[in-house]
Amino acid sequence: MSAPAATVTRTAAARAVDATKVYGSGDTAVIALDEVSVDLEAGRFTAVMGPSGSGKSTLMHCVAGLDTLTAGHVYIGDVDLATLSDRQLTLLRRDRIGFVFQAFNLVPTLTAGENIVLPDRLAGRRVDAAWLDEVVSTVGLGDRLTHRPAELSGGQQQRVAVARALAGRPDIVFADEPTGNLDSRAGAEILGFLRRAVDELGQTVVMVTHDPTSAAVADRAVFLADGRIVDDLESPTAATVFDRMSTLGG
Amino acid sequence: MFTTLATHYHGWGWGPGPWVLFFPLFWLTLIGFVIWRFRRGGPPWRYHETGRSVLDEMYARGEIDADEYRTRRDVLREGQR
Repeated sequence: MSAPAATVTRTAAARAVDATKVYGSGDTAVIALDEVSVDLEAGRFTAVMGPSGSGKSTLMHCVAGLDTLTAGHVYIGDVDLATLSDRQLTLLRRDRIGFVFQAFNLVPTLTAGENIVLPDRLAGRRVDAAWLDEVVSTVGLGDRLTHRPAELSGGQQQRVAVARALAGRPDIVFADEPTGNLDSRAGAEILGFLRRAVDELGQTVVMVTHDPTSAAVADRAVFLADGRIVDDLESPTAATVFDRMSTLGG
Repeated sequence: MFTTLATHYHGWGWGPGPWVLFFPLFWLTLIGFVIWRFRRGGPPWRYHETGRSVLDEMYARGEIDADEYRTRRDVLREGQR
């Protein structure tokens, strides 16, 4: 099955074209990505699904410019990441990409509010106060801004991480198993905030997950197995995703 | 001619001598340094934006965790020695 021809033309916030990633060489070479081509549309919530070892995290890392491809191309907007120097790549990530990881990766000595604006401060950028208010209220953190990470629950810490990712008003937010360290209630909350970021703030979110319930929040689910895209569902539900995953041996 | 100019210099406090070479050399060195800094890592007034500050930013954005930050920072320190 391949994706149906899109009736509505959307611009791609990010794109992979024949993306290939090989770890090692010779007999021990492992093909993590095998000529993957995918458009990640702007203003949508896309889930990248697959069993562990399917290449979904590798795809995210390569598209986000955290890792480089062996062959093929990835684009953020119109920019081919392969043409950028390390420094230009750092600047592009700074200006156009937000990250949310499974481990919240907050700075423990700073308050929630300080963590959210730290990337902007270090980059010497002015913080857009109105936008920041909107982001903070979207993730429901208003009364927690003066707390340090250690004083917050896992779910609250991940909300801080989501707010931090959105604060720079990125073109695209990559979330790698954002609910992996959370109980189901806190996990559902985080997914709800990512959903609102797309619906209410017009952001673009790409989430890597192996959890069918998480993927059901997305507008689209792309399935990877053995480094290839094997399916592409519009408006996935937990049931359709679960069904697809079970045939992949996830 | 040189004698004339030299006389002028001694007499009036201006005019070229061997030391005039110092000024072009000074500016050449300064411009060279600024260009070198630009090529190396952005404008000279932000020249500190090298390994350590890139690392700080990655940590601030949550791209790396505290352990990885410390490990990489230590590697950078080793490199500076």
